[in-house]
Amino acid sequence: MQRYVAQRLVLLIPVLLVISVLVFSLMHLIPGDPAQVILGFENTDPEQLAAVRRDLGLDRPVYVQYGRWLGRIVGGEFGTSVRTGRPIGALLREALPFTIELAIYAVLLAMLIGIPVGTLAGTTRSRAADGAMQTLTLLGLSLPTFWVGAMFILLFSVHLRWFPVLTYPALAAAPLANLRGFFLPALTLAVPNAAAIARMVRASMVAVRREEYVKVARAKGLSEVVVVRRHMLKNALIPVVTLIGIVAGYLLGGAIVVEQVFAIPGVGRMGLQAIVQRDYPVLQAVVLTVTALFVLVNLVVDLTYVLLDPRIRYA
Amino acid sequence: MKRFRFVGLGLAVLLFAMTAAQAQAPAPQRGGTIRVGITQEILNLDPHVATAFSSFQVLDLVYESLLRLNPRTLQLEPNLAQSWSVSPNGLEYTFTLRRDVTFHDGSALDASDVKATIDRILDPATRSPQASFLAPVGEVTIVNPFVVKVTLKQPTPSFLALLTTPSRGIVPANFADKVGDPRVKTLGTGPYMLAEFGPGSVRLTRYERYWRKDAAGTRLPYADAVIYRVIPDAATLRAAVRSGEVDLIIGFGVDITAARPLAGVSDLRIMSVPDLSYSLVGINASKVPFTDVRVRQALSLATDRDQIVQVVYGGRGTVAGAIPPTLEEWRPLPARTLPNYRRDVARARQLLLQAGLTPPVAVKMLPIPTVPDAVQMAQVLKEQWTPAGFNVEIEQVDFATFLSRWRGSQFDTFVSLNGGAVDPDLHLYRHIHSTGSTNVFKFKDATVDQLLDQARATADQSRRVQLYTQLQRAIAEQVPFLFVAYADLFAVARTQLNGFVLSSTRSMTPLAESWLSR
Repeated sequence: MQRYVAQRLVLLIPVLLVISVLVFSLMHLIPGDPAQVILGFENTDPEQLAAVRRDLGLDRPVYVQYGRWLGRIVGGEFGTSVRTGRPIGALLREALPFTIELAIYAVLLAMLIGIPVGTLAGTTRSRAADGAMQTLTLLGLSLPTFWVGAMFILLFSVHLRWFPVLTYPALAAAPLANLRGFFLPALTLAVPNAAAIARMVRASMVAVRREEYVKVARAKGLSEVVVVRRHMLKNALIPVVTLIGIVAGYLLGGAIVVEQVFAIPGVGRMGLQAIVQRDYPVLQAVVLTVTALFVLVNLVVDLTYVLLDPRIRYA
Repeated sequence: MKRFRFVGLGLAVLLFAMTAAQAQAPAPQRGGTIRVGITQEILNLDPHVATAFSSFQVLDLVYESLLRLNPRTLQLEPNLAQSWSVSPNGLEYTFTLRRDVTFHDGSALDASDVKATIDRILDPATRSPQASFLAPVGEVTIVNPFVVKVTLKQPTPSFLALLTTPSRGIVPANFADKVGDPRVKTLGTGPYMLAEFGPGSVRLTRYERYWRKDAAGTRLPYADAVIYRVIPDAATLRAAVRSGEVDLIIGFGVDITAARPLAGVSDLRIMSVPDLSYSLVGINASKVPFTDVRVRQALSLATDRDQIVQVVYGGRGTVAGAIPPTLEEWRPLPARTLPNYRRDVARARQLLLQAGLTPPVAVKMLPIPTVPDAVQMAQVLKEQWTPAGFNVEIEQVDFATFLSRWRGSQFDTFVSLNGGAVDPDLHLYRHIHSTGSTNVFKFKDATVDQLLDQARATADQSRRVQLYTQLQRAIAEQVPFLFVAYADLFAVARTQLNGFVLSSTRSMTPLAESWLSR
């Protein structure tokens, strides 16, 4: 087991390398230049532009720039933001807690909503109820995140005043206020994922309830609740766990939209700003961090299978 | 007797009403934190290097220049310089500094700081985009600790107007040594100092020894602190001011579409003022067929500017030419008197034919992505230009790509917003003169060049007005680009915020004289 985990962790390195090369190349292929973004619309002085480009090291060939960046990373340093001059490590340390909390909160809410809804839909005899939940989940998948977020703000913050808008105190400092403040953005992020989970659970349940061992359990006289909980759910959850691993990737991406709408200074927004301003080092750092997180989450997911299905063992 | 009683009663009522009215005029209260919502990220707080508008919204309260513009009247007023004089030949400007100004570290302001500031801006190592503005400066002499003389290389009547913004804000001598990294640390003379520069927000706290006092002699500013919150989404920004999370929303994203839904809300106040900035349609005069002035004129004749103001600005804007309509002392000509301003589709088609072109003429249009109005305007223009024989293709690119194409003149036309200035030379020269630093249109006309050069060389105000009147017509005739309209500026504040004046210059300095009533 330890060897398996170690192997997976070692594989992280080539993944990160390939991603970093891809992102670096893409950034240099698209038009736009960080030096120009810094100088803005004030003048078109070519000497000034050349000077700023020299300062940023942009006058060197692309592979030299990549090499220097790689050297810094290996030395443990993310470098400094081209746009603001601030050390990227510090920027990430400020931004990560917001995004990670948002993602975890969203996954929990998505499971809390999705699994029961999916279970109900998968076990109910009523065609109407099942149909209603199908429609609901379809809506959840289709409604654009930025619209859902804006509607939540309007309804719950402005009109009902149930939740504050734009208040994100640190979790350690004010736990209750923090949970209240993050609820709407987490819910917005959770909606499409809850819908996906609900559908997956429903499908799993429908598949599992036809199995022989379920009929046996019912024949033994066990109550429906026990049948569902002890015999059906664990098996139905296996594909859902896979889904959560994939969802983790989308969460980190969907977080970009949610962070924009709810003005959360997280990693998603940092990455978006970096693209807009052509802040190459920041973008590289964000992409690397997100990739690493994604790989780690999937590793955890793979290890979770062992808990759910005793037949699964890693050599 | 009865009459006297009546009069006596009337007087008593009058006196009572007067004292009641006096009691209702609120006196400024000290304390509290003013929270401002803006949509643009705050990136760089170095006053001489920053270019983003959001930076200046913060810098307005931290750094000051020698003069300032009155937020209401837009007239020049003393600031760090309590008085100044200009030599008869227009080359020597002598500034007498106030003696009670200190930087946020307590050190006193003196003439060496002014010299150091100008030197810093002009130093190529600073890479300051402001250097081109101060190019006329030849020499800065320290006459005595509180008197500075600036000698220009040629007469520049717009020079004083240049010294009114934080982009030429006064920093102490040895600025870099004292402050470390000026992009993230500040050291100015303004009413507030930087306390925190975090992700998504900037917090400023009151500088207790700020020199300016209000009319009653109380030291400004009133509020203890000012927080700028970055809220990128315009809808969320509106929700924030409605729910009381912020006290004021201002800047990009706060326009007629933002203000209108908030108009009825009881604890909000909508402020609006004519803008100095203007929307424009840039035309690449170096690219065929736009090299032909008739084609450019045809574009102007195909445009229905009034309709654009109605559709894009909800009627809250003024169609005008090269001089902002709010600068009355420069005699902006009414739009209807400017050549090529009244929509005439038939004439436009005629001009195209005269230029030897067969409609439809393909035109690419690049709206600036950071201004939502620009995209709307492009769509309206596409519809307006089609009957005149133009086939418009709108290209949507991201900001950095737009900037790159703007700079390299890789466009047919673009739609954008240009900042304005109170002096017509600052407003126009660099965009329109053939040697102008932002003349990406590659426009070159001898008459226009001559008028611009003459107008910036004379200090005689009436002569300058005359020249700019000729220039307005020449510009409308030769069409370096299309001036479309000067829209109204908006800001929305909670009624608890008193004393804030929205200025056509978009300056945030009035916050120093604003207070929160509890």
